[in-house]
Amino acid sequence: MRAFEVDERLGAEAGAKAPASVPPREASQNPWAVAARKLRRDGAAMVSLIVFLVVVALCLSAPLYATYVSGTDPFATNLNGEAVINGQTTPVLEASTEGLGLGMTPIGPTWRIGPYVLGADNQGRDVAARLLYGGRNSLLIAGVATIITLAGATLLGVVAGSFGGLVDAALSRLLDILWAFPIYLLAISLSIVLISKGFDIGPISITSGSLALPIVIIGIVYVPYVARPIRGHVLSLMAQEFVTAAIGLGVPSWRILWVDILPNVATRVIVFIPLMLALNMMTESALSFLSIGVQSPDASWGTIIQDGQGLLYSRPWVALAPGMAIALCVLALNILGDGVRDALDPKSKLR
Amino acid sequence: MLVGLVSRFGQMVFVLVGISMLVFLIFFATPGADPAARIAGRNASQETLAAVRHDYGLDQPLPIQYGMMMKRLFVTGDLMSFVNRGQRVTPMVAAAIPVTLSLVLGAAVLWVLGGLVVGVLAAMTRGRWLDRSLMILSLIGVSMPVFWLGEVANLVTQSRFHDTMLFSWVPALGYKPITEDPAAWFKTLVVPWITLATLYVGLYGRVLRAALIEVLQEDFIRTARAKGLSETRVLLRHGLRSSLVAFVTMFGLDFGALVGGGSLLTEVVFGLQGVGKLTYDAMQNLDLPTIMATVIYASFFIVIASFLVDVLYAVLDPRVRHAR
Amino acid sequence: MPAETPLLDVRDLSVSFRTERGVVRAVDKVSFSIGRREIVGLVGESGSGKSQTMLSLMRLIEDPRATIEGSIRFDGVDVLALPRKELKALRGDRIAMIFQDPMTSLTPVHTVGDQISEQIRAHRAVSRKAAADRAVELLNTVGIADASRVAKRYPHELSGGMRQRVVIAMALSCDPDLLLADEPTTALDVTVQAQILDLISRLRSQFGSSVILVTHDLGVVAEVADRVLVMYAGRVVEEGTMAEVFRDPFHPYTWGLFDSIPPLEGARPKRLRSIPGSPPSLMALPPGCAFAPRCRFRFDACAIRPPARADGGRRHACHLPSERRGELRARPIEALS
Repeated sequence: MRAFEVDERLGAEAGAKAPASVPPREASQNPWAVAARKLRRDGAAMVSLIVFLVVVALCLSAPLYATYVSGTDPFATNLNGEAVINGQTTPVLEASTEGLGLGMTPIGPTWRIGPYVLGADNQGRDVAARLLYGGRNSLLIAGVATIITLAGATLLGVVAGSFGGLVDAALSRLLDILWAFPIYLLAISLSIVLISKGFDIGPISITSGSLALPIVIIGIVYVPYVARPIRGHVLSLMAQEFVTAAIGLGVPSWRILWVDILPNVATRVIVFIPLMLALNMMTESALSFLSIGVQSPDASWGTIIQDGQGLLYSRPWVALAPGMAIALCVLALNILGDGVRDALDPKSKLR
Repeated sequence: MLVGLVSRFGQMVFVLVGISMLVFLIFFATPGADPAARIAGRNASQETLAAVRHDYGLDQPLPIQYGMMMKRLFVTGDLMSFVNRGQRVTPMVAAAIPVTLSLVLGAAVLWVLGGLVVGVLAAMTRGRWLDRSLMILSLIGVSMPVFWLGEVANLVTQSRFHDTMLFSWVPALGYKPITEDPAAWFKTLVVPWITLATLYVGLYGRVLRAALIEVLQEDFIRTARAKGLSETRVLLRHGLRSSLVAFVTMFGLDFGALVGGGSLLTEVVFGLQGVGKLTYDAMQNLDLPTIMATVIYASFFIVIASFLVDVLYAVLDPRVRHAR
Repeated sequence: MPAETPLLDVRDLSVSFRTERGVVRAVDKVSFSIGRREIVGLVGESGSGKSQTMLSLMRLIEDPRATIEGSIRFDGVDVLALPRKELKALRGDRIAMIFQDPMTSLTPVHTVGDQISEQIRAHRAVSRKAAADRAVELLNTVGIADASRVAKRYPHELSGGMRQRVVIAMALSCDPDLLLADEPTTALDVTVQAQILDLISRLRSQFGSSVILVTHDLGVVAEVADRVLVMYAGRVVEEGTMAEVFRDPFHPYTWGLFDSIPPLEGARPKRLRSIPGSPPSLMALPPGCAFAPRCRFRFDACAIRPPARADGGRRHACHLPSERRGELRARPIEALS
């Protein structure tokens, strides 16, 4: 054994024999890029996204379908029409043989690409074509309503949270009332009142049959639901030190809002997007089912289910198909929503 | 704690007043059409319109109109539906309440039990096939529109499979009061109960699973295990009991949405003459007084119910009790 | 070493965790014995593996990524091979544990009395009333005044010191042979600390229990322990009676621990000595002695893991020859770069 001096040479060797410590850290990345990568790795979420986009694409191709595949105008009643199936010409509506033999039963699904894949409804219209057009409306309404909800809620939430004081108190009381009002009842009240006569204040005039009415109503009704958590988030952000520091440095309020608060709130808002799309689709379909959503001649998945009610036992596919479409979209959006939340904000509570 | 309750009560009253004002404004003050014409319904004669204007004080300032309306709704109970030729609204609503309550409470029992079972099972077998399947089924349950599910249920139980042993007992759509025939009452409600509960079992199962998994990471769970308690006991008495608060919060919130919307749709689809169906029929006829009354009564009920849930909160979680 | 069969005999215990970055050996071939009516102090800094060692004694490590190897014999019974039913019977009854943070170790939704009764009724066939009475008795024994009222309280209504007493009362409820105390006083302030330690030292006389007291504080060990084990990076580096280790420590790490305590007498040092460097990452331990990178006496033999050399009850894991220790330790520390 050698002398026990501090032997730098040996010490250095001994040190060198020790393996390198922890491998170098990956360069920290833009949180958006990190989140996007995480999302891409989430198989279920990716599949859901693709499914949803496929549905959107199909619905957008509604006019093509109507022209090339189904042939008939999905909005014109076709009570006396005829269709060629298997080479045979049959009337679209036939005298009913079920039950008491009263009324007319439309033809059922042919299950073949071409006219009347899913059969006809009680006005002789091609269900599959209407399904695609209806989907267009349902998706459009859900989409625009989501934009309205998120924009409104972000505005209210940020204003209430960052200004505090009286402004916050007043807004919160208002939100409390709106929040306590059951969403469907609020939507129903507004729809009843506005649908029949339209809306006419000053420069804003919306006729009663317009799609804008359900869009605006559904958009507004969910604002408190989203505004509350955003307000809460803004409040907690305001209490954090980096904001206090910015205020202390004399940074003007608008800049603090723009640079510090909004980007942080943005993640919460993005997490809400798939969820709100799903909720809005459900609300729209319920309102349309109750005949106070989309009005004829427009169609949406909800109205088609309503159309299918009378035919439920004889031609169930008229009602089944749109419901399945809604369920599929909402399911895909829910799974996607879970994935987005896990990628961006894993600590947030479910719901 | 009393201080907290009183303040919460005050808040509730504030919200109730706010809602009544909001509803009033929506029905009476949205621009577009003459409120008298709205209330009197379509094809109302001039005399009817004049009578409406007088009765509702439509030529008077808004606050007075509001006061008169509230008086009619809550004090004298003589709000009349013009469409239904003088039928009083309040008794109609009163008659419809037992139906809605039967539907909603029965479904609530089902979904609370179902949610508990699903949540606990999923948390216990976390990551394994039972957990995954339960979560997928829950998601599917949450994604189906309740009225559509009801239609499907009808299709199956009333039409396609009605003759099989499985569903031959399902009676025709409609409601039978429990006082008349308890067995029939039960049979008319079973399918609606299950339909309505499906949505919520999924929702609650997912939330409970997440809450339980979080709680199970806590230190006191490790202590409970170190005490030599059985795993079931640890899970239920220590884990579940500590996460019940989240469950109850949700319940309070959802009860509102349910009574407001879900039960309405279910009643329509299954032909149950509850408050929701009443509202729907009134909607078809544009019978505004009835709609307004049902909306206000329903909203009030919901707000009061969530206040009661808050009280239940304090009972369940001693930390909340003492924080007040 | 105790003459009779040891109460607890641990041989080559290893606890490792599989992580994304590799395998972490939190506990690395640890061996020790605990006799009856002994209080043993287990000393080490964070990351030394002391808590994981404690948790593995009752198989409380629930992490599916963990692997536990070695042998743990409690009163002759192989704990690692025990079926779940018997393990549950063992926990809380013959071995009990006190955890570090009294704020979070009690269930918030049950009263403290209920939580103690629950443990009693899990192991003894007694009525609810009898268990409740015993709970109050236990609270009294640990020094809680007005025990019957306190028993009806919820954990969040009690102070940290009282909660820790509750936890101790709960642990003692079934007269355990072995009490594992994981840093029971770390989260408490100094005055309460003294009372808790006093309680623990009375455990041996009043209850006949053995205690393993885990701490990073040598002062705590000095108060109550009969024997001391020093751990570093998941390994035992020194073991002996209190007197032996305090008077004449063998391992350079132990020297470092003692040296960093400010002296009570003599000249006031200009600077407190600390052990240079920082605790190693458990994923990247050197192949030889884990302490070598920070040891000013390292030499080429240290590239091989030192075997635990026993000398009666004294053990140490260091290559330095015994006869030169006194001289080496007395060397003044030169300024190191």
